[in-house]
Amino acid sequence: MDKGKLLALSVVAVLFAVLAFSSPQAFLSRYNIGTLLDYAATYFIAAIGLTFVIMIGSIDLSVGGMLSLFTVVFVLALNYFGFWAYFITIGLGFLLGMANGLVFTKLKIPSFIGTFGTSGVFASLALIVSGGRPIGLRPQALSLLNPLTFELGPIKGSHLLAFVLFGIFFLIQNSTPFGKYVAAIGHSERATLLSGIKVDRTKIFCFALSGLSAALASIVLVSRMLSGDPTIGTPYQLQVIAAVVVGGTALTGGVGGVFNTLLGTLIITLVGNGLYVVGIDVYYQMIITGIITMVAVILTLDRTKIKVVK
Amino acid sequence: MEPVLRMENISKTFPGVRALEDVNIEVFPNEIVGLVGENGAGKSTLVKILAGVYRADKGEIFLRGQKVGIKNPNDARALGIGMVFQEQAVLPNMRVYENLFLGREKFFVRRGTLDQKLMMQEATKILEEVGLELSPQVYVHELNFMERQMVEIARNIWLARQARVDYPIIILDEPTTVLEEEEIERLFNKLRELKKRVSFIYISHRLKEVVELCDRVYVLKDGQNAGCFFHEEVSEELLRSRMVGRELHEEYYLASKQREPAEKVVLELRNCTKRDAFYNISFRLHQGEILSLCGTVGSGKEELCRALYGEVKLDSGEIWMERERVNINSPDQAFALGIGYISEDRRNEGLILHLPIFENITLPIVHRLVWGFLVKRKEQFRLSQEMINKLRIKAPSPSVLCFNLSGGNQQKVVIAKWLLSQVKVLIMSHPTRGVDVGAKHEIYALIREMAENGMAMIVMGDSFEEDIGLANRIIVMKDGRISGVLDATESKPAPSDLIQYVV
Repeated sequence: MDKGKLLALSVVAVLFAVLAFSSPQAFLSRYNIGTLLDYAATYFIAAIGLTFVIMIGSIDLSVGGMLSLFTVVFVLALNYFGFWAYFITIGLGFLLGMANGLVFTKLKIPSFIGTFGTSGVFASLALIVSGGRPIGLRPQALSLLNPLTFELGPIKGSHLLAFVLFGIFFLIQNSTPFGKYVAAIGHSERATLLSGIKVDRTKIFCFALSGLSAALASIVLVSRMLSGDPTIGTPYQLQVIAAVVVGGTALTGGVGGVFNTLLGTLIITLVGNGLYVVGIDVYYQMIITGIITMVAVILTLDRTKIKVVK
Repeated sequence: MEPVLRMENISKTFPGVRALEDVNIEVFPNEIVGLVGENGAGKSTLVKILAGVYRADKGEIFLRGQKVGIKNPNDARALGIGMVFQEQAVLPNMRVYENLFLGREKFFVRRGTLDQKLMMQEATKILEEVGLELSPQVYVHELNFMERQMVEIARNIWLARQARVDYPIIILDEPTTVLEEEEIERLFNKLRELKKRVSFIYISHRLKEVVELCDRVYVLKDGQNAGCFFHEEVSEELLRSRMVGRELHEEYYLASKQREPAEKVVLELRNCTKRDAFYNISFRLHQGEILSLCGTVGSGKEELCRALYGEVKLDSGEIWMERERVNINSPDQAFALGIGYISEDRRNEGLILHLPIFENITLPIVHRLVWGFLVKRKEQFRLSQEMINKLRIKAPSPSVLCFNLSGGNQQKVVIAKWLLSQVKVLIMSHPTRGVDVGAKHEIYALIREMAENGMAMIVMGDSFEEDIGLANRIIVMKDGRISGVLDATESKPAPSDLIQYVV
């Protein structure tokens, strides 16, 4: 295991130990562990696709907008089409993600700007479709969420989904041609292009996976809230990027991966939850997350090798 | 005569490597001193010690008879020692005079603001001095590479003067790599003119140029002195043998292993035109043929090769491969048709430095090495190991990062990649650039072997000698058109035969 992963893992362990010792009743309570896993699963599922986007040195700023839109779409679809809602939402996630990729590669708009633009589109669509209000789930549709809400001890279906997705994405990253291309593009796009690799197609697929994972995260969110909220995504955007970066995936591309994102998610959720458990005002949470993100960048990047920082 | 510079018994050790061992060199006034050696022989370490980038473990430096301590680049500058790097240190988005005085603007501050007029005057004076006829107001991106280098030299002379040194030493590190023949000649004339007031230390892989230009040449081998020769006695053969420490008996480009290409045409161009780059280019490339493309920058040869690799779109004309008309719009389409491309920029475009050898070698074909969706890592390893053995790549295992390999071994990895992909046509832009003599020879041998196995190659070499030595046939381009076609299978033409078509 490389230095970055080891470091992130030890941070996770230290955080966990500190919280477990300082306030065992509150932190280790079944309720709190359940909440912790709920949050971790949502963040992780949203961040797992984004990991590939960041691995190729791009960024997806539309994850928040997509989360808002997809919670609304999923609830509406559950209400009207029943079980098909899963396919509709996931399919739409993949397609809108692909649209992001097309804007980026074919119109040659930097992903930072392109996804910033589409983020606005998605957020607005969410408001338009929902009429600006949260949309409740019809009671008849509740049972359709069973695959995500069933419980095995403290573990829920959504937690298992996060775990399964981790396995799948880990395999995609390490053992498929696509995963190899992602690493290659992240390190050197020119060399990859000149090796005869379809670089644009690979990039578009990265964005499509980011859309797909945003859709899955929205489904998990709905399974918790039992409603679709057209403004829910905004606060998630930075947390999700933070989860990827804190895990040690470099914004410059090439370095990192889904295991890093798993560790990053745990750090972000443990910090958020820990502050709550210890009794620090939630208003301080963003300060701490911000500082941790910067520290993570300082620790994971070998900055002596970077000549210019922009 | 008293030497301007004497470096005595310089030794330097890096973790695990003995870079220099008791190296001595002297530089006299009015002299251009060449410094040659294979990669890793210690040339750059030596000049970096002089320029204050590294500090020697042992040894002494005397300037004009005085012992000096050079602890950092500022000390070196204050003593009138400047360095012009291969990767140029000028800023293209700024004007010439701004570049000349970058970091020294304080000198021109009058009443709290920059006196631009004074800067311009000073710039005009120094440009005139180095014989560069251009306005200091011009943006550097409008200059050619030779002019940029002259700007850097001018800057170093000016800096030395500011430090009250009227006889500076300027180190030139591979200055001609980015230049074309014409520009090189102009640069050399300027250097010969300037040596009245400056001593140069000239580092280069291009022995021919060193022989032509330098008054004296030092050879380094494995961090030690391996000879010093005067202009009158020096020759390429002599330097080459001293650098590798053995006589190179085999003829250099292995012309005896050259084969007659097959009848079969693998690639044909019919009247290919790209406006402002090349016009009406037609030729046939046969199986097993090595075709050299010669010409200056602006002759259109680079663009032509890029068009064959899908990076430049043709305006008109046809490309045929094995009796089928094809469209090549992107590198992946070119690859699908069996065309490979070796870039001259190995570190950025040839390899992915921070990935291991096996990932690099198998990158183009990794989609074929799968079981369902999953890549067979064992197969990747096996094929890479085969290539490592076959091409004698010096690496302990296929999982070593390419970053840790020498230039020659990196280039072998690039070749291995295309060999494993079994491309039919390989376009090679400067395949031996930045590669030392020993590895160059192995790459020539590889090219011969690939030709024998039927691969067709288009080569743009580092020198006319390389082009002629390797090729079955030479196409010379000038101003975007084919100006001459020479056969080099039966007998080799002389470089002078070529020049008439080039300029």
